[in-house]
Amino acid sequence: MGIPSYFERINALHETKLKFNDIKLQRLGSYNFDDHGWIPFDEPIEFEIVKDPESGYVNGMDAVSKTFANYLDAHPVYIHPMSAFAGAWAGNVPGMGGPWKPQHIFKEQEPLFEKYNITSRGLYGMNHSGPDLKIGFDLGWGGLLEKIRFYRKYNKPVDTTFYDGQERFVEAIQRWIKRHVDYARQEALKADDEFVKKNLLEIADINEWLIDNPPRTLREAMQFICWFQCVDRMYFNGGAGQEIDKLLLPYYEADKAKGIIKDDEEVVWYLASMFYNDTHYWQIGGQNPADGSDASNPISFLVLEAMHRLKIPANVALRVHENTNEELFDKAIEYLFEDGTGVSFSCSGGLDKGYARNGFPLPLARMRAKVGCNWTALPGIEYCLQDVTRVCLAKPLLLALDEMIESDEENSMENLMRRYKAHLEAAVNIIKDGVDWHVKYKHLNKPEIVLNLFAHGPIERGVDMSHGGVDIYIFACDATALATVADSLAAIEKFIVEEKKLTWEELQTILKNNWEGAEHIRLMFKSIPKYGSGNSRADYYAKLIADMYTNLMIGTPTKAGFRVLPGIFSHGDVYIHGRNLPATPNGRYAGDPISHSADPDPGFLPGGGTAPTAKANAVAGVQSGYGNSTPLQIDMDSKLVKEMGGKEIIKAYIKAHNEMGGTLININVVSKEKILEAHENPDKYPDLVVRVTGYSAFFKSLSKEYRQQVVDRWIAYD
Amino acid sequence: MGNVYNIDEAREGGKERITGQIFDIQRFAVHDGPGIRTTVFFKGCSNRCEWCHNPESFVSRSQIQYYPNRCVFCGNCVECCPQKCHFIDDGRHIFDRTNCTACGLCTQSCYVNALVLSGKPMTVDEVMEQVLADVVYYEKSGGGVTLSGGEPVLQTDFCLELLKCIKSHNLHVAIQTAGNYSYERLEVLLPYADLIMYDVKAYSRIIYDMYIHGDRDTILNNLKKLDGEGVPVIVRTPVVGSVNDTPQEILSIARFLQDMKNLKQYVLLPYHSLGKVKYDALGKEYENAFYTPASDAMSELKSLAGEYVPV
Repeated sequence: MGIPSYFERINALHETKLKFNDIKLQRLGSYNFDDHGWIPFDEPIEFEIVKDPESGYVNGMDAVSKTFANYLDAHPVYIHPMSAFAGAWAGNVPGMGGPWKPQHIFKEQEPLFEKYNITSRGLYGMNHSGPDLKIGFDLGWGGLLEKIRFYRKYNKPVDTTFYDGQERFVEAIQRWIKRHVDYARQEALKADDEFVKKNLLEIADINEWLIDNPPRTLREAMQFICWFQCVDRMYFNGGAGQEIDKLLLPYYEADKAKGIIKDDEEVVWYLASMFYNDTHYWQIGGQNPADGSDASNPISFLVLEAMHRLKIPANVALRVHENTNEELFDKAIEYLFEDGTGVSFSCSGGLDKGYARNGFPLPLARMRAKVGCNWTALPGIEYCLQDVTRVCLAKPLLLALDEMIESDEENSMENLMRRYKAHLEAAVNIIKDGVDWHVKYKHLNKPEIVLNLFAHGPIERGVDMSHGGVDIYIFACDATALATVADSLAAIEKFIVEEKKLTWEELQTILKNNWEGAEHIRLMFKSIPKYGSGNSRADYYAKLIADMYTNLMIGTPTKAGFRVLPGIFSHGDVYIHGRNLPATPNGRYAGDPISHSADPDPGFLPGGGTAPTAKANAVAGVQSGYGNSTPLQIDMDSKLVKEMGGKEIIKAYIKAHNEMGGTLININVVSKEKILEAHENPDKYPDLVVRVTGYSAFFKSLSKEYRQQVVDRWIAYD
Repeated sequence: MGNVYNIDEAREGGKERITGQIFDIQRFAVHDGPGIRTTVFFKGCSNRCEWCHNPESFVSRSQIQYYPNRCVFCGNCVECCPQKCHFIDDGRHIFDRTNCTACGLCTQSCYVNALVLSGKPMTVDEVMEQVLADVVYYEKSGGGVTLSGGEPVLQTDFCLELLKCIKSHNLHVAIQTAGNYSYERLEVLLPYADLIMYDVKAYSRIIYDMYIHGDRDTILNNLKKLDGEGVPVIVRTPVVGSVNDTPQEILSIARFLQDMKNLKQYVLLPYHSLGKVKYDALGKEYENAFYTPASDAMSELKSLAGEYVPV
């Protein structure tokens, strides 16, 4: 066998990924998150879980670091013979997920979370901040170890648990890498194929160097990233990267100058191998902080190429701004059309100025990269705990309705809205109190053992990233169910207040009975001009509620003084958020899914259609405007797009949304026939990748509920 | 011109309240001219081609469309109809159109859109409210507004007022027309149009006699006059299987167009039968032998026409 082409190598990675996905589905049935990079190894990993004696769970730096180190020591080695890199992860570190120590559980809050249908609390959340891998590139694992030892000596802490744990963790990573070096050499000896032998020996050499030393070449730097991706994922599914094109450019240029890289095809293979390793979130494009000029470079293009060739879920965002490189933009759209999914489009139009409104300079805001499902973060200097905190906008409405009807006061829209605001404020305050509690106790339970290494401050100060280790603490909270509540208010106003079709009490009874025996009334309530149709009462209420939520969240800091940035985002969890929510006046049954993020409900236009411009206007109109994302989800029929010669149209559409203050656009382009067929028979399209929300996933992997959610969005274009 | 448009009705209440009879406004329209557009559909047409997929555009008066598969038999329409046109009988909804005045009350009471009012008088301001919602997309994509139908040019006065307003916002305007009217109607609109998309459904007189209510010579002569005005023109032909899908017919049209000075493109559009459900909803018969030409045949026709005009 001759040397496999880069195409063949990447194709081999693609095929292996599909094979692994089948095994995952056999084991899990379905899974509603992205592929991640985990490998379904055959054998369970036997290792000792070290528990904190006080709580009986893995809590505190000592238990966490020992458990993590034991896991790494027992973790199998893995090298795909066609990959440029070694390493893979088998799953989250078992045992880590238990509750915090009893004295650190916010017991008073528990009933309130339930009362307000807050299912993503923020409190107890993990990572969801951005790393700065340049720290690792400059020091290497050996340098990180020296840094830890230096600052332990320098700071002379009485309690050395923090430094001991960080040191133990890095040493375990080094041992894990060393085992891969040995494995690569052994496998090379056994290999008959010349390419495989040579590749394994190269991987062995690269990693032997990386055990102690900082990367020198592009391939070494990317191998370093692969190790980071693995350990970050193992620890509570950390998935944030940074501006990958900027990060890698110096190595790329140096390798080119030295003749180490002769062909960009080789770089595409590196990148595909890195994406095979894991689906961390990366940004390309974006701006130079100082003047806002475009920051794309040759790596930006090669990232698109690698995604396109590998054709597995990947989470890369193109950061769109006023001066976006048109060629890069064109390429991203071209591959989006060809592959059905591709990059998401993170919009500086709404993000940068929004973040600056919090009192930060614009150049700093431009550095905040899109490195999560819907979110951005400053690499290594900000603890922001994005995307794990959500407040339900609909439950306060039901509470307010009940409270008003049971009171002696006259029932009215004004009364209802006054009570709604009070309940929403209570829900917002629960979130804020949770943030304070989280910052106070997290480090004593689940320290940020991975991100501490790649942040500016934690090691230097001997303080966990969640507890004062970095300079900027700014949190995020995403509202859910905007369309559900806006359409509900419009329906109440029309049929209870204006047309007096029902009394308030009758509506309350009907909702308690989950519309039973009142189907015609339910259809009537569903029939109002919906949020998204433009200038309807539901549009008015959507804006009113979004503004109310924004003002409540941003108007005052938490009691400890932290700012919480409002956004509107449900993730893909519309079913989870709806499960415990009673029937709502928009015609929704109890337990049914809530509306998706800030999107109007499918078929929102009069007569049931969906116009992408109307949808984008609606989402742009409810942006909170403080730098947290409120994404726009667009699913287009590929036939329509091709017929209309739509690349320029889609580009214009994205630019317009960016200009209108949008923050993020997720786009799928697949034919309706294909998505319906794949829904019916998922095995028919094993490599169909869709962007569920901010993350992409194999369509086949999703549960029927999640697939239905995606399908409903397509059908709405009829 | 039959019942296509009544200017006196449109003028009722003074010029500032002039209304047009509109049956739809589609946003993110991407087949009706360059870029992202909003298309305003005017009700009433003097051609009323047999294959038309917008039968609700034939007459200018409002009509009730009924979609039986959506009906949940709530009986609201029975209660509110002053003409007693609706009955629920043995689990079936019967809509007797005999005395229906299309007042629209039943459509307002129908919460599931089984009854839909097609066409309503709209003021310039009402249309502009929807048009202006997407200005930023027009700017970014080189798009704009398209007046379509039906036949927009027949509602000349309203068109003129609307066009003036659209142009005051500096937006690109395309008019889709089929040319069956006295030329003066179009002429007064041209100063405000950036593009005319002109339908020539056929060249042979017999096709007009059999399938099209419009006058062949008027349509072709108007196109020739239009070409002298300097406004860019795109000519379109819906290629309908069993009607005009022959090389001879398409070549005749192409040859007729070949001397035009302002012709930018000749576009052949394949017929589709998606309009059947609309005929049913209006209580109209839709029995015919039309079919969609095969894509090979379309390519062939396009290639033949391409020898004479840009396609």
